Amino acid sequence: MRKYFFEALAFILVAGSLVFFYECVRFLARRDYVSAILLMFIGFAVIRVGAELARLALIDRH
Amino acid sequence: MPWNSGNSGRGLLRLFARRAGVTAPAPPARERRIWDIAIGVLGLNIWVSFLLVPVLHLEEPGPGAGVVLLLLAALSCLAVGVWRRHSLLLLVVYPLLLLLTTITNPQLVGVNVYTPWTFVLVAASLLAYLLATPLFLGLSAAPQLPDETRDLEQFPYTPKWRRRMRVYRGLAALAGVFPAVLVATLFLHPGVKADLTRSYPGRLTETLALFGVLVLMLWLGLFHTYFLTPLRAHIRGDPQVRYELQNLRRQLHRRRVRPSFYAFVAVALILMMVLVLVHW
Repeated sequence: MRKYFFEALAFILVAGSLVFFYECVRFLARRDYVSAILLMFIGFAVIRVGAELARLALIDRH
Repeated sequence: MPWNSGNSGRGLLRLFARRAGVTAPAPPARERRIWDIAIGVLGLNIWVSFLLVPVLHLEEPGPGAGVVLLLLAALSCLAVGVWRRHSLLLLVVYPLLLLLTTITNPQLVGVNVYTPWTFVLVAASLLAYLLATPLFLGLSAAPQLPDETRDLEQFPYTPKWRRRMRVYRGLAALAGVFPAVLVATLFLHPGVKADLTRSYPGRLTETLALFGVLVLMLWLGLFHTYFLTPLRAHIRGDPQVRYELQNLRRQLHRRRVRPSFYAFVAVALILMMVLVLVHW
């Protein structure tokens, strides 16, 4: 059960990181470079956390 | 060329072909011709919908000689690639020529050309081409095997491998969604276009081209780091992959998250707080 939870959470986090990259592009268009860079690194961090959870989901417990 | 040669460039083809169950004897020439035609039709479909239709709808003064040259170059590349069954031409040079044409002429993908639905159609066509081409090339390159060999695909996946394949398919699907959303945001979002027009008056075309390159670089970095690396680890028969698999096996014995997990959570939270403070 736990591995399915990790799997779902990993998918949500990786997919959710897209929101940060989306907002990054929008801030770039408004010439708000500081916010865009911050959002880009937040996206990187979130996708990294999602990848770590995906690794946990792949651990074979049997 | 032997199926298990050390040419790592064929790794993706081998993977697709293996997933398609290609352990049977080499297909007859007629089937190969059908797969060649399928690649050609898919490539032509993306060429027409992605380049030709927008070029025909360009406002005055119409397409320049450079655009026409790039159009013909892309079409020639597709034709030669299909004729020679050349994976580099079909999977690298041809998509790059499509990209080069639009980057040098951003008006081809502007909000006046694409609606969200036509963009989804073009994105789906491109994905279909990029997925089907390695599959068909792999099928065409199937080796002649002895009669007594047995197809490993007859054996079902274990639950572990089913879960693993589910994660890989999820990653592959997201790998297609990410660039589509980023490109659609940059080139098709009316709010973004209004912001760009206001922020960079008189330089909209150049800004779009620059941001297009930045988005492409962002996507390539993401794809290499978070999508390609875990998918590549699935391909066997390569010393580098075996080394990575050994590392992965060592990591799998750790059933807790690594310290980097907490570090990245902290980084994300701190950056979010900084972002809120910046906009306070």
